[in-house]
Amino acid sequence: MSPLARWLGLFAWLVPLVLFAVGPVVLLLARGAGAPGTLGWDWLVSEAGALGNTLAISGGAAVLALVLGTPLSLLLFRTDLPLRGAFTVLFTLPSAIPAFIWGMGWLSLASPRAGYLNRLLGEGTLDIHGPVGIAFVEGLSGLPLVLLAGAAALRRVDPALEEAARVCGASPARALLTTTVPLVLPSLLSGAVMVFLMAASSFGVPYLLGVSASPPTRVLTTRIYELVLLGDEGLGRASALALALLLLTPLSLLATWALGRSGRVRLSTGKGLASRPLSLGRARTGATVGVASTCALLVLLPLAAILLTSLQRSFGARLAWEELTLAHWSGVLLEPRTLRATGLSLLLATGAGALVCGLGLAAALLQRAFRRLGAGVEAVAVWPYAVPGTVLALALLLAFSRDWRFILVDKVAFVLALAHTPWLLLIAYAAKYLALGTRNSAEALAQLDPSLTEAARISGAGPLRAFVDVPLPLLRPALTVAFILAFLSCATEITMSVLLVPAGSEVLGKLLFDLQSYADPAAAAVLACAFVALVVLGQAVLALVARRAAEAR
Amino acid sequence: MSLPALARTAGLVLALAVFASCRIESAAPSSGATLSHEGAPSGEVWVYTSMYQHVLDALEPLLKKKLPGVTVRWYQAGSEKVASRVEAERAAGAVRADILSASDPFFVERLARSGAFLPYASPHVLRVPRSLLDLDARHASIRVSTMVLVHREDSPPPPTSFAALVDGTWTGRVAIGDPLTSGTAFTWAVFCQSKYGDGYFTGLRERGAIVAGGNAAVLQKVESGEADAGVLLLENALTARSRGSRIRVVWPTDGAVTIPGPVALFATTPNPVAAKAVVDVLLSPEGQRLIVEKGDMHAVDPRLPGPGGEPGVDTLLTRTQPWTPALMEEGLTRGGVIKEAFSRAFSR
Amino acid sequence: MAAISLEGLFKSYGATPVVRGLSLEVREGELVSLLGPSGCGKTTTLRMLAGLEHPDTGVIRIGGEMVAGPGVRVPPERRGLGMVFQGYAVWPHRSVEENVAYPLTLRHMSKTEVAAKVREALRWVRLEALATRRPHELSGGQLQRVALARALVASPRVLLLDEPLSNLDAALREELRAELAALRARLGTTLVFVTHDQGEALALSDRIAVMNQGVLEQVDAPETLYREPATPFVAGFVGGANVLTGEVREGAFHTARSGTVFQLSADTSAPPGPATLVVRPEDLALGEQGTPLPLSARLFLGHAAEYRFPVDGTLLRVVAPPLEVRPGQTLKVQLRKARLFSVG
Repeated sequence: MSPLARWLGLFAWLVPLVLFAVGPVVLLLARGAGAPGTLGWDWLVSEAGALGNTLAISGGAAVLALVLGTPLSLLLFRTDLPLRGAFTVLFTLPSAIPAFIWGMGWLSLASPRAGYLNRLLGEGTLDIHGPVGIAFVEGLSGLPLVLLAGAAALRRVDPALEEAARVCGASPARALLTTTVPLVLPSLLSGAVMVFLMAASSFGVPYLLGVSASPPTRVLTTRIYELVLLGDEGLGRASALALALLLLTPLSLLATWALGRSGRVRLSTGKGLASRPLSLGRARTGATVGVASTCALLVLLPLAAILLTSLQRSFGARLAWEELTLAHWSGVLLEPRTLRATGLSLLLATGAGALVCGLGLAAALLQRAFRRLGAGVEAVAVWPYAVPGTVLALALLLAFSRDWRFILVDKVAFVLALAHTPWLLLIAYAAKYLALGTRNSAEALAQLDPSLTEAARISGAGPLRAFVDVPLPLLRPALTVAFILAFLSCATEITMSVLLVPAGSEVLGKLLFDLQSYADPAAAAVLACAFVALVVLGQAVLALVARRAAEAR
Repeated sequence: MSLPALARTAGLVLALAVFASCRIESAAPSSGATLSHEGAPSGEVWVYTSMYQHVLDALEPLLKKKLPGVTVRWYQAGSEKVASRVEAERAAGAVRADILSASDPFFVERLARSGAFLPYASPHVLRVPRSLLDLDARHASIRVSTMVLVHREDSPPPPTSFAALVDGTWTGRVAIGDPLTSGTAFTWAVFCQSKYGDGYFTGLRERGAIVAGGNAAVLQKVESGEADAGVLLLENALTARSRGSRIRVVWPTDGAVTIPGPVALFATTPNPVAAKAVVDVLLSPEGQRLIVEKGDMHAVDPRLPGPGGEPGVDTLLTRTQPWTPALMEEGLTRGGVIKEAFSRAFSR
Repeated sequence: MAAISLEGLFKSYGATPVVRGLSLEVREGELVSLLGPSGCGKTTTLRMLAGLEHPDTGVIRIGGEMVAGPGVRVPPERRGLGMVFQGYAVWPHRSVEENVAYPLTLRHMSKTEVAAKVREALRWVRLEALATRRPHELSGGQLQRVALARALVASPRVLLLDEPLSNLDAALREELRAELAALRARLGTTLVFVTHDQGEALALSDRIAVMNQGVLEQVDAPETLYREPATPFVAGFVGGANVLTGEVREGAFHTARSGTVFQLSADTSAPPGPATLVVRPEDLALGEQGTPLPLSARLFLGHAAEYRFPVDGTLLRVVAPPLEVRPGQTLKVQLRKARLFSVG
């Protein structure tokens, strides 16, 4: 890329991002900083608890995801475990379904008195409320981030390395632990860092499980929400807390970057590595039972709980056949509002998914073109991911409630009127989930040898043609993954949807929020189940794409 | 310099020139509504409301019938979200809404004091009890929600008053909303705090009260048996009962807490005629009846009965704690302090 | 076919200079190798020629047309080149045919014409049978030939090869080397070949340009380069010569550290003073006369044997007829022919 084209590209990429995401948030924070009531260290000290909770919970979630994800990724992607494909789909469900819904599932399983499990085991055996419960649910819903990072890294590691260890006299397990695991560990850790970031910026689960704990567990995001509700007097404090939260992003990225640098193993070009799965031998049955029961306990059980809730006349009713009803299902799914909301949500999620892929790919390319400055590009792209939904939505409202007119030489005027249009939701979704596109593309791009593109250039293709002909088809699987993840996240997003939905329209996230807040949990559970069905469908498509890609390679 | 490079440079210079000559302005959104003349309301009316969606769905045909020329656009969300959106739009200097219909009296009063509203006295308010009206006509209640005690039919004897939750006469676990995030719970907390002092919060904490997020969470905790009783909105309890839930309402002897749901016209409305007409419909007997029947809330029109077989608004006002200017002041100016006190009491 | 001229090329990455003032002329139809150790700037030079990098200063001409220079920057796709990359760069998502056909489809040829040319190119590299295969089904040598066919199919003016043989095993390398020589004879294209393997360079090239640390050390025909290296580096790199530093005094060479003395033969002209001694292993003899040195190892080569003697911290290598000797024995080493480069 010539320097001029590079800078023009950076400019073209930065303009929408700064205009629609970074700028508004910075404006909001600046406004907050100017508001009264921010002064005083003692105030900051009083919020130390929330900061501590955020760090502890996010750290716990990251550790849980890592501890579960490392053996699972090895078992699923390196061994001859039976039903690997099915397990993989099931274990990637947690990040595709909103964490909030998992929170609901676990709440109905492990509320101290009324939870299904506690009714079986005796009152108060398990308590999902509080920091441990929050970290548990967040860690589980972040598990796929570690798992998928591990899978990508395992594909890159040359099996010859492991074979070399075997020849040196190591047992299969030892060879795995001493050669493959250290090589994959940086990628797994980088996945865990993403879990940390996700947990730190999440609101739904800490709110659901934190308020009722004794004492109530407050984290930065829930504190920000409470302070924002205070109006102008709280906005200053909320900004200060949001700033603390936003500082976590560059720090985590720095950590990922440092880890990733040591763990980058590039595939030799043009030659796929066909790795032989490790035979589990006698441990096969044990491993299968272990993985299956983990899957049943951590994935299927909460889903079943949600399903059961959706079939009950009211939550907490006696568990008996005659108490079950399909009334909620027909009541929610056949409602014309649900259909309208689904239509708009799917449209918005498709648009946002496309934007996430396009801008994310551009970010990954820029990141590569600028080398050192690329870290800054990545930071800008990933940054909105850690902005709490409330803050991002308020920032957009503040910036775009007015119309913006760009007047050219007093003749031509472009009017940017976004207030009460679905475009504002599209912007919010795309900005928030841009990180998914960026990271997926960057990972995939790192595996591509630049000489593949250069060969197309030498063959006579211009820069654009060369890009379309060579890297793009090779990046397609990664982009598909990014699209589906972004699509699902947008279709089920709640916080921003409620604030930004245009008057007179509905989106799925708002519907879920309404059902949860005004109707009853059973009705919300119906929609949650429908989401799960949507997700499973998406996952099936994803699996199909992956298989096709594997065949093509 | 080769030709393509020359063309590229020229293009860049041109783009920069165009960019430099570009002027950026911002303005409040232009309303597409055609201004209606006296007597024939028409155009668009935007309503930001925290009323339940099913009530809005029921009101829609009535508005269509009464005001055929008017298109009503609803932004419906929880009271807190509506407040956040209005605050953000006000900060940007561009409130899109013509009408605000919230369920947070403190928020509406704060906006009224900052001069956000257009005074309007609908002919329908003549019968409405004085305590539910703003004497300057900046806003008017259209519905009344009530905070009551609820319990499950099969649970041990319920508490009979809010005071019983802390004074030891009732030993059970109560679920309450979180005043920090729920507007209704906050209003209730203001009443209890002014009546029983800060000790009320510490008392709740000592008796093991469970703080739930919003009203739905309280209902869920009571229904599921997680809590023995709860402080809940009457309408939520009635809706749950009609769904088949075994929830029972107890009117606290020390007075339930009413939460009037005011409606107000924004001073910035480009279409005051139509907006006033919409408010009239909401306050009309037909509109009020829908609020009772569909919304399970009390109407402000004393001729109508209360929801779920309860008596009407006059009787309601006798069994609830009265709103006083002092209380309003308390909630407005010391809201942050009260929330702080609550939060401190519970984090111990 | 076109002549190439590189004039005063400089290129640095950040603060690290990679190519420092390189000038080179390649005649039409000539095969020139860029030879040097890894990191010497030879691949960067090739990439600048291809248009994948832009020189900081300097001018590149292909067939008389300036393709890189002040204000001029012809992109790679308009330079009319073919290139074979070190890692093959065969596109994994296209079949062999599709890979080879790609440069032609970009030139808007008719389908039948493309098919004919692809067939011909695949025949050159003897891959007709594998036309529909996918790259992951091919061996390294086959991929190499796909890359070659793709580079050749559009009859480029210049063919660039970046270490094309380094990823292959020895037998395949020999075979491909022969094929490359045959192809070159047939096509007559101008070729620039980057390698770090002197054997490859010596066997294939018309001329070899030896690079070291971004600077061109010597450009000459292989034989000249081998017989008359211009610098100690060239001598050491190309002929595998022994290189010792020291001083010339009274018709003898004294090594710098241990002061070991080698008598210079009469025909070696050497002004007294600090100098570098360069001598090929086969230009040293073992016999009755010479410098006594302890033998550290002996390697049997078949027709001869290599003897190693520790001198000044390195090993002096001598190739001589096989003798019955053991490590530890002291042998006498004599210079038969040596080159001396004055230092300073």
